[in-house]
Amino acid sequence: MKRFVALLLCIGLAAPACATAQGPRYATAPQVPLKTAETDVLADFVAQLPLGARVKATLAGNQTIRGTLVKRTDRSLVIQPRARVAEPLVEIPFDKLMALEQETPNGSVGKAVAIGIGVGVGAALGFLALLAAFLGD
Amino acid sequence: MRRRHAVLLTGALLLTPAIGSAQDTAAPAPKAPVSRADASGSLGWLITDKSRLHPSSGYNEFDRSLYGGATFGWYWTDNLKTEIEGGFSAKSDFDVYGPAIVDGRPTTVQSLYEFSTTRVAASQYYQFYRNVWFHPYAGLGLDVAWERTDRSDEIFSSSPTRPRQDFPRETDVVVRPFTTVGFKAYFTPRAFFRTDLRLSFRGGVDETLLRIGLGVDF
Repeated sequence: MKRFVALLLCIGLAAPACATAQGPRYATAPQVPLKTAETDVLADFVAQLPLGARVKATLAGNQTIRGTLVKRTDRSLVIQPRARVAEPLVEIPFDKLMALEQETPNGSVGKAVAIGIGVGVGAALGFLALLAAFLGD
Repeated sequence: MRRRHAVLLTGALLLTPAIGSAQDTAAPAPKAPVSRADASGSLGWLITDKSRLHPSSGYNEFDRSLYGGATFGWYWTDNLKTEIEGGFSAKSDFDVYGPAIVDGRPTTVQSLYEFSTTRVAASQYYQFYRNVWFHPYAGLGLDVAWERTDRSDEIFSSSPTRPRQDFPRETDVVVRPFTTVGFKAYFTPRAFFRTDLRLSFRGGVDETLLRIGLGVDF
């Protein structure tokens, strides 16, 4: 057991320094440049998407950005990332785009809020049940 | 010696992320974390193994008490966070029955213990995902507890008899490493509900703490 705990502590000590040495979150250049024909196909696909569409863009290195399409030009598209705290817009040139998919929302804000409230109430009731069991002893 | 090791280890836990960040100056600047810090308050249920008080019984004896704590966390990156926590466990009663010889005759003595603790913990967390509404996390750290123990012994049989015996209060400083798993669930972009399970070790699992709390990001 002592060895196990010591091993966990060693990992904890080493991990922060390793992780903070990472570079930027998003790569800025693909490892394999797209062919012009592929770029044109992606540009055509983006051209027929409505503004406001929810999309999933895949960049080099399989990095993905999910968000809302807010602008498109002949050379790039601009996505508002979908996140809890609002983030800056991301402009992605077509020649750095590996794949693009349109996503269909399968839920709603109301549904998410209801689930959140349900989880919160359930957790609170669970805690109160534990408390009652504790105080009842 | 054990306390000295604990202080050194706590310092290492707290300082290592700062050193890691300082090494990034030559590399491309990473994105700033979505949140720089958070603060939360929590209530919990603390179960402590007290088998060492009565080793001859052959059973595991557990003390249960309410726990309250306040936490401040600092994000070094979106995924790495150092937390400092101050907390206390409410006074709880714990009975131990043991054989004794009084006036040359065998009898049973009831030892009534009352425990309470004040504690400080430093921990390092890895929080999964970035800027989403639900973040599982796992962490490890060190907990320093000032454990106050009040004890009184009584014999309830009519013979032999002995007056209640009160012992002076003892305060022990106990250092335990711990691991934690849990999650933060946000109900606004900055406010969250959190719950986690913490296992503290001292020759095996010595404490189990289930916490539920609310907090806010800065």
